[in-house]
Amino acid sequence: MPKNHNVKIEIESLKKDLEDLEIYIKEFSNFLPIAVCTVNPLGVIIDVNRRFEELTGYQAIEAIGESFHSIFLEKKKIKNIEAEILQKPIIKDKEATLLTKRLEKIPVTLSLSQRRDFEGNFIGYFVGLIDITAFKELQANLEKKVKERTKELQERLNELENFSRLTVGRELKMIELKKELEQLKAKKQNILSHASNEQNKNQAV
Amino acid sequence: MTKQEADALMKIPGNIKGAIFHTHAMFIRYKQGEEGIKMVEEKLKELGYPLKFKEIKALKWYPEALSVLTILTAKDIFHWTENDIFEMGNAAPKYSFVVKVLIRHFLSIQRTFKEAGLSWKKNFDFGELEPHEINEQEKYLVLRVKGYKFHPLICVYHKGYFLRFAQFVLKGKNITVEETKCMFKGDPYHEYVVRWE
Repeated sequence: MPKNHNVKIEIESLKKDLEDLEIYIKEFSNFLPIAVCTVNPLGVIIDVNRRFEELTGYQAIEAIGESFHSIFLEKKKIKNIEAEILQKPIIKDKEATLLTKRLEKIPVTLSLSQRRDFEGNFIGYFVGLIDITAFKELQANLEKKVKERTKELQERLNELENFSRLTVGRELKMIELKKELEQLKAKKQNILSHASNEQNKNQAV
Repeated sequence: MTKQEADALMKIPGNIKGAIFHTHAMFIRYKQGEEGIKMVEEKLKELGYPLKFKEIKALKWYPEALSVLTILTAKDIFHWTENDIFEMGNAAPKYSFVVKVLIRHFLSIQRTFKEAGLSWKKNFDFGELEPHEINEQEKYLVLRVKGYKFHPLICVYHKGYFLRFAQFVLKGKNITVEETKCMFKGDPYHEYVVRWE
């Protein structure tokens, strides 16, 4: 009788511990600023945290039971990642586009981690989703600025090239003109000396 | 639901885990918001069976009759149809912490079928869920619920519940469920046939 009583107390205590553990997991999961979902080996979502609901716009009841790849734009890419997680314990920072309930497209990075039971059987995986919209916008702005700056620089370069072409052209023209002038001078000298010779001849006659 | 009907229902013995009440609360909140929860709690109090969802412990035993009364009360208050009750049953495993813990057993339809009885035992201290037959070639399975007779509407709830387990392990297939035998129709047990394509 006392033994049974002890077992009963032990069971009650374990139940209490399990309940506390459930509350702890829920609280911790809901505190996370990263969207997290749990997926079973068939690619079906079986759990989501609060941030996941906020990010996707799907409530837990709507998301759980759906195929994981169905909430992404690049379904084939996600299926490939799902195949990859069977082989690798962890996959980090894969980029994809999340399709929210309102059909908004949100760029995200995915990190996956395998789940295995005590016997080592694959029982699914955890997925962490990070919204990289701000990063992408920053990147796009940066790229835009680089493009604009490059364009500006190219324009300046073109101006310089034009200027240089113009200056060099003038220089060449001046050299040419100088040459022409020299030639004309020589011609004039010839004519003058020829005329002088003729005059001398006539005077002699 | 009258006081007399509630009293008669509450006389039926049998307990379930508190986690099931949590799934009820989640569904009511999803459909009717926090106000819905209050309305159900008020009505249960009126019927003489007060219940505070927040105070329910997931692993403690509570009367199944109270769970059934909760479902019937919600149906009455919100004018839910049988489809809503089916949806409620179908959504229940999505919320259940116990199901999430047990999910390691549900890796294939074969394993889910084999472990169905275990899942029942973890949630009910009475009755039995018998995994009667599975035919993967013909794509169907048969489950039998024995020693369970509370209200015919719960057959609809259970249909949704069993379907969800199949949906967890039979991704993207056209899955259906049908109750082929029912204790409320004179059969010795309830029988559910799940089919898929």
